[in-house]
Amino acid sequence: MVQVVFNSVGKDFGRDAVLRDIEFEVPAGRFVALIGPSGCGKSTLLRMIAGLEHIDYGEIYIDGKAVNDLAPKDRDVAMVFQNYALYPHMTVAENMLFTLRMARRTRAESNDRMWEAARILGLESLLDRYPRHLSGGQRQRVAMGRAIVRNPKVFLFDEPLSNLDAKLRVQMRAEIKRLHQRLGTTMIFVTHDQVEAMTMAEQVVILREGRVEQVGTPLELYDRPTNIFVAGFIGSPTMNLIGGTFEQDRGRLCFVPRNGTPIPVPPGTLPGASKVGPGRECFLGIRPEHISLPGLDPNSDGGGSFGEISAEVVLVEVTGLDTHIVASAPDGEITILIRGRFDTAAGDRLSFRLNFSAAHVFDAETGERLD
Amino acid sequence: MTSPSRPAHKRLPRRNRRKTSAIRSVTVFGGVVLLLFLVLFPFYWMVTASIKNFREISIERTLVPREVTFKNYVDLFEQTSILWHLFNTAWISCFVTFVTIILASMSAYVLTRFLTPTAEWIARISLYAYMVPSIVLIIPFYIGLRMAGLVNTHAGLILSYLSFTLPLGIWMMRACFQTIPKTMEEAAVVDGANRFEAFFLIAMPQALPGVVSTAIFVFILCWGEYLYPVVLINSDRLRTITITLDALTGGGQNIKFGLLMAASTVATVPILLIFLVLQKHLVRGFAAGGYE
Ligand SMILES: Nc1ncnc2c1ncn2[C@@H]1O[C@H](COP(=O)(O)OP(=O)(O)OP(=O)(O)O)[C@@H](O)[C@H]1O
Ligand SMILES: [Mg+2]
Repeated sequence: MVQVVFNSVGKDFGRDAVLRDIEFEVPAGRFVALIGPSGCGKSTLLRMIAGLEHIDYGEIYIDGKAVNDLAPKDRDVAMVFQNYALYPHMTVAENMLFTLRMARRTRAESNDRMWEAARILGLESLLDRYPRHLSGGQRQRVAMGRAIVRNPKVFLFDEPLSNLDAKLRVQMRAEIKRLHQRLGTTMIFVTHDQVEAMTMAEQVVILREGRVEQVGTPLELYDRPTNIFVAGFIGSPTMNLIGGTFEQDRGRLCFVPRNGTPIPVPPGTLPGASKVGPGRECFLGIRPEHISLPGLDPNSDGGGSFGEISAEVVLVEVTGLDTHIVASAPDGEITILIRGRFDTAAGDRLSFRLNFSAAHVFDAETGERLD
Repeated sequence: MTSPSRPAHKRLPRRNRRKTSAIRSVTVFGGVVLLLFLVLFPFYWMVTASIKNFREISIERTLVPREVTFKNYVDLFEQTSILWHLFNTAWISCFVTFVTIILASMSAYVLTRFLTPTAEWIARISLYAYMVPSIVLIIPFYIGLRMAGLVNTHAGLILSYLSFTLPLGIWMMRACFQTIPKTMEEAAVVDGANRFEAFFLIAMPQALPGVVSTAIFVFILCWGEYLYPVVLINSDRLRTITITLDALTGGGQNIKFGLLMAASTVATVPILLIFLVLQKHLVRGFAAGGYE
């Protein structure tokens, strides 16, 4: 069953088109992350679902019903705001009871639900406090409590974790995910943090400048980004993009980096490469973990699908778990991620192996994926 | 040194500044005493004069009454209808304040939440409306009210008061609502509230300090208003307290100081009481910002 459907939804603010042709579906019970850079229209889209912004073009359906002309209270959605928007003159309990009061529920039922929500979120001891006497994490939890007491069809979260410190954020991330598993309610979660989107969501929608760039599971987005923007947005450290062309050299297909020497492409890899005519500018996209050092890679399959380049080490970063090497390639710098520790220093000249079977080809002009 | 368990940021600066702050406290204290004297002495004079006899007020000019008498008050209540006038003033002021708060907070809310592009203009016009002096408006008002048959009625007086309390109230309440973020109301709307519920249950409670300061401001303006009642009211029964006081000056020739001081005391006490009761809110209202 499908819960929320966007049918060529658009929005203008004055003369600026903020959202254009948004089309995707959120199946019931799914946890969806809306992700994109600042100002791409994520909050606006969420507010349009909630009924806080008018839907200028297209329709949004919730549970099969177009909600364009429905008042927020008739849409049966609950929203958690970025700054929590707790009612400052009400206690935690009153904050959670407000929505039930508006729905004219009986006192007994309201109290039961409020206690239930407080128990799920561990708020029992805070019920008499006012929001100004709560910590950031507690406020966050109250905001979620206010949303779950209603048992709505859809939960909307607008960057609920961005005001928390790093440690609490990781903790709340797990807590929200657990909440979703427990309640099984559809959740739409806005964030500009790709790690949040990747770790929490079952489906990720990437927006840029008011348009949907790609919809898919986190791994689909990671493994098959449809364009350079998605490729660069998902994954950390970011994917290496090496500009160049594909040429035939003595019967073999070669990738020729800008200002570099040709690298033979192993047969059977890079299906997109053969579609690129000779001389056509494109980008070879390869994630840092798909570049390795000869002899170091435990998954090495004998070199069949690897290409080699030699580059000088510019910078070495050690996290303890991994080693990140930045090296100067012919066309700019590339980042290499090595699992474990590796002893090298700036100035060393190393030979790197590019795993072509995990690489991507993008058209330099349109930025689209080729394969 | 402060021990690490104490909140250092709360204690250290105080200690370092102790000496200079002592000198400063003395200066500030002296200034406050002087100011208090300037404010309180006339007040003291008014209250004590009201319980002195004629000799002490006008001839001996004693500072402390030697002989306390309530004759002035007895005369006041016997010779004038001051209680009526007090009652008139009180109910008109309360009514105007109430209506102003309701209308002004609703208008101000709309100005800050909906009409944003045009709101600046409307708000500015309302401030200009407040700044137009009553003396300019009094003749057109008189003509208008006479055509409506409202001259010499409280209804006419209330309408004329509203002409200056509403713009002032809108201006003050707008400043107040501007400091209150919209997101709480949006949360309320998503939580199932309609616009009225969002206004009365979410926005208004947060605007309470602003409401209190606006109400006090408006109430005092109404209480002390002189020009409109003197022009619009001519029957004694309908007069307000400012006119009573004016009448007691006897046109400046035969001023009955004892009566006048007693009447002034009676006119001031309600305002003082209101101040004392609401003082806490008033300070909070000004501190809450929007008025600086
Ligand atoms: N009320 C408004 N009036 C005019 N323009 C607006 C309004 N609200 C948002 N915008 C514009 O719409 C665009 C999208 O805004 P939106 O808040 O949806 O971005 P966002 O993706 O949520 O960004 P962020 O990650 O910074 O929260 C921005 O360019 C913004 O300037
Ligand atoms: Mg946003």
